[in-house]
Amino acid sequence: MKGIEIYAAIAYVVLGPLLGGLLDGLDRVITARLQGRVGPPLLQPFYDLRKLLTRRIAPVNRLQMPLIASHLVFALLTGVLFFYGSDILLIVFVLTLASVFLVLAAYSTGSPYSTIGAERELLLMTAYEPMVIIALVGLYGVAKSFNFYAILGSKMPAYLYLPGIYLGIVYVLEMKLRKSPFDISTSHHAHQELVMGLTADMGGPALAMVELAHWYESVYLFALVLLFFSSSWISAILGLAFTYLLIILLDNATARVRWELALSFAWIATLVAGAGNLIPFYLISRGTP
Amino acid sequence: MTLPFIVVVAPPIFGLIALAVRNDRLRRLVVIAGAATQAALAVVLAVTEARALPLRLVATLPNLDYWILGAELAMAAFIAVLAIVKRRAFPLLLAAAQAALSLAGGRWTGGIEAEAHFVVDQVSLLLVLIIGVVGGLIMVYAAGYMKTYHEEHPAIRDRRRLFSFTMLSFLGAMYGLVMSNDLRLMLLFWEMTTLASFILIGYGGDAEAEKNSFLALNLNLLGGLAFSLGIILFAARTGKVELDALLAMAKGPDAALIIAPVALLALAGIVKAALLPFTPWLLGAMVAPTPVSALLHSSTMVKAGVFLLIRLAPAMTGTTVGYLVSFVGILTFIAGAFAAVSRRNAKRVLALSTVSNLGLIATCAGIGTYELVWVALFLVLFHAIAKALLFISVGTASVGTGSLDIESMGGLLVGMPRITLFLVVGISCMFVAPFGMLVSKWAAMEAFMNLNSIVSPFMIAFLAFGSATTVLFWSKWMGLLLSIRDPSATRGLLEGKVTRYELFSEASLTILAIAACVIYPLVSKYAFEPYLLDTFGKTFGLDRSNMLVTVLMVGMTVAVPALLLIISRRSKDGLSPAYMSGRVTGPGLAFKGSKGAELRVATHSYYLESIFGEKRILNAGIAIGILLTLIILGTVLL
Repeated sequence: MKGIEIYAAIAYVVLGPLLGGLLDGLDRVITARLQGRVGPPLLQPFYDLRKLLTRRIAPVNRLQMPLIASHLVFALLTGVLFFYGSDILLIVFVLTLASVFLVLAAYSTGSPYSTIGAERELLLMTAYEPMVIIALVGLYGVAKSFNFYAILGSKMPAYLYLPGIYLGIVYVLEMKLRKSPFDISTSHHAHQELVMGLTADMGGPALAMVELAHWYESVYLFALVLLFFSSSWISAILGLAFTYLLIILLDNATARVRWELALSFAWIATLVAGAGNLIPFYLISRGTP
Repeated sequence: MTLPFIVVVAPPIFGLIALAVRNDRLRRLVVIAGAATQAALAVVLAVTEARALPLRLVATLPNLDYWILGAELAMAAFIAVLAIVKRRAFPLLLAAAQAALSLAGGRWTGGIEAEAHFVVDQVSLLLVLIIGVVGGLIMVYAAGYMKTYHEEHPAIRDRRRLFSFTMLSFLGAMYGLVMSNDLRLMLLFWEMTTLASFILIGYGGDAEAEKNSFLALNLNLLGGLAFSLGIILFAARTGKVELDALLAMAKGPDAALIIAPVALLALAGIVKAALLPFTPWLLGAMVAPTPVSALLHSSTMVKAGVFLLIRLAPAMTGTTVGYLVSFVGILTFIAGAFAAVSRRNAKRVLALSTVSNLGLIATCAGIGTYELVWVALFLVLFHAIAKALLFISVGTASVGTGSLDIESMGGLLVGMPRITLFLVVGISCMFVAPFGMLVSKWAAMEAFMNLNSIVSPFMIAFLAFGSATTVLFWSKWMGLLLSIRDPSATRGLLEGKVTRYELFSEASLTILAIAACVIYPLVSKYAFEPYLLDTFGKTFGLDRSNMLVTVLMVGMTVAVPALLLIISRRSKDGLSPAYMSGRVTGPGLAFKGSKGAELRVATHSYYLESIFGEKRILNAGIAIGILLTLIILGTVLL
């Protein structure tokens, strides 16, 4: 069994960016169609990345690039541990470490736009982390394991037991994937009030690294979603497609919120949909050994 | 004379010498020699006794209980005199009550011969090592810091002889406390730490210092009364005065007899650990010089409180009192973390973070299963090192920047690169994977999941919110430290006044903090797991492969950024100015605004007063805390 896991981790390292980039490209195509535009070609994210890599843009200070590169390294590590079958609760904390590196990189520039972006990113992290933890605890309750493959192999229709938690995870994905209404720290469009916020002072290869890390992240975030729908092939495919389209739809149908709202909404959602789902589930499943 | 006894008396002996030496330089030598000697003794004790634990010792002093009574009456008299001089009624009342209890309680506790006055086990040795090594390093730091402190604050009367004596005696009392098995002895040491912290908190001598020192004294004397009552009740019901006897009864048919004594002792622990509603004494203690804060928060005082709770864990597990203690704990955990977001005074944030972590330790001890006790022990270890490092580094930073305001530490990386490194390591150890505190929190979550109890999903939800908030307030502080306003500025200009004593302690604690995260699987295997097996009949450690992952990650988290930084600093490429949507006029963050006027950029951190306002949160916490405390008292009466 351990053999497959090593191959999965290696496949993730090699194919992760391809898959992540394609998800990004498809997102742009669908969004364009929703808005009645023709939109870019599917492979546009890869062209963008190639262009970014050819640019030579000087960093703002000597600390910025190391922190961004660390962000990429630890984002990659998160996914590797995930597909290698390490404890998924531990992986959430590694994910936090990766995000902290990105936030510190933005802080290090001292620039007002980056700083505010960094602060807002921290607020988003505070907003979504409780939900992620509750979700994993819920999945543990269903499958009695913290191993990706064990939960996957349990064939439990987790979305039936944990509907509130599933909705909470959609909420988290909106934040993690920098989608509206929660694209307050940075977005893929430079037209927000913070210019580019978190990434305002990152250009060329620096931005390419952030983008690459983002692709890696989106792959295992969707792998996490997969755990809710692992009961059969059909439910897996339908569940993933539904979630993906739901996120894009929400992105297009909502306006950006203020940070206070992002934090308090997320926490209320976590309490109502997350804890409100976990606690009854725990109490009921306690009775049935 | 046995080694544990030498360990207890060595620090106060050096303290007495320091009290006698008037020459500053000579006294500094005495203090450093004392710090080094007691640390060495602690290590020797741990190394030589580790093989045959627990070690049981009988004190050979005849009529020991009379000696204890005498010492307690003397302390009560000292407090009474002080209270009269300072015209404070409450401490006088409490001292009188304590004296009366000691005298009257003698009817039940007097004349009982303990089978072992001291018991040294793995938990004692953990605390002994923390007191010795972390406490010792704080003493070395103080040797450098206190000189600067008095130069910076000429109005404060120089009482460094008393300071050195009290600090060292404090360590001695802590050693005694963590090795005591006879509860009468433990109470004596308990009251000594109360008295020592009172003297140290009031060191500044101004009105605020006096007020806060008396607050600490009052609350801790109150806790001491609960401790006394607990012993008397225990002795009256069972004719015994030993902690191990108490714990043994918890599993036997007489468990009902010890519910009330355990509740009273736990209350004493709650007070000393500054849990809600008693938190204000620790927050007030911030007025003391930095080394005192470092000592109170890391290796002494509050750690005595949680030490007692951890000791009581086997007797609390599954009981009403245990659940109540865990509620007090989780309340304190969440309130401390929330309140810390809104504060911009560095010492205040550190203090609130201590409160929060002590709350988590108490939560674990209150539930008291073997898995959660494992977590609690590691939290004690990691917190002691990281918090001592943070306090002393903040002290040094505040001398450089002239302020304790976190905002004034913006871009400290340029002005104080070495101190910033220490702070960054300390902060990382407090909140982020793969460092100790986070690993412990992770283990706590897994332990709660294995706990078949109604409380566990609630505890997990609280942990999730508290832990996310912890990330917020530590990261924004760390971000501010690393925020480089002017990359071309000369580095290290603010480090002029930093003494080598301070640097030595800070560097040592930095190395220790990281080392602890690397060797913790060994600590678990050779110290904590055997202890749990002895105490609970079951043992616990994180999954070996998980431990390996965290240890490897510590290496990566240190090496990757360091390596990348070295490569980056060798780069000859130019730098570009930060984006400010205007013509940048640097150096520093300036740009040409409209009409060609040069404007400077200033950024501030978020403190989210409207959501995380400290006053509101603490007041609510204190109200709920009082309620829970009253319920605990209620269980005593029932």
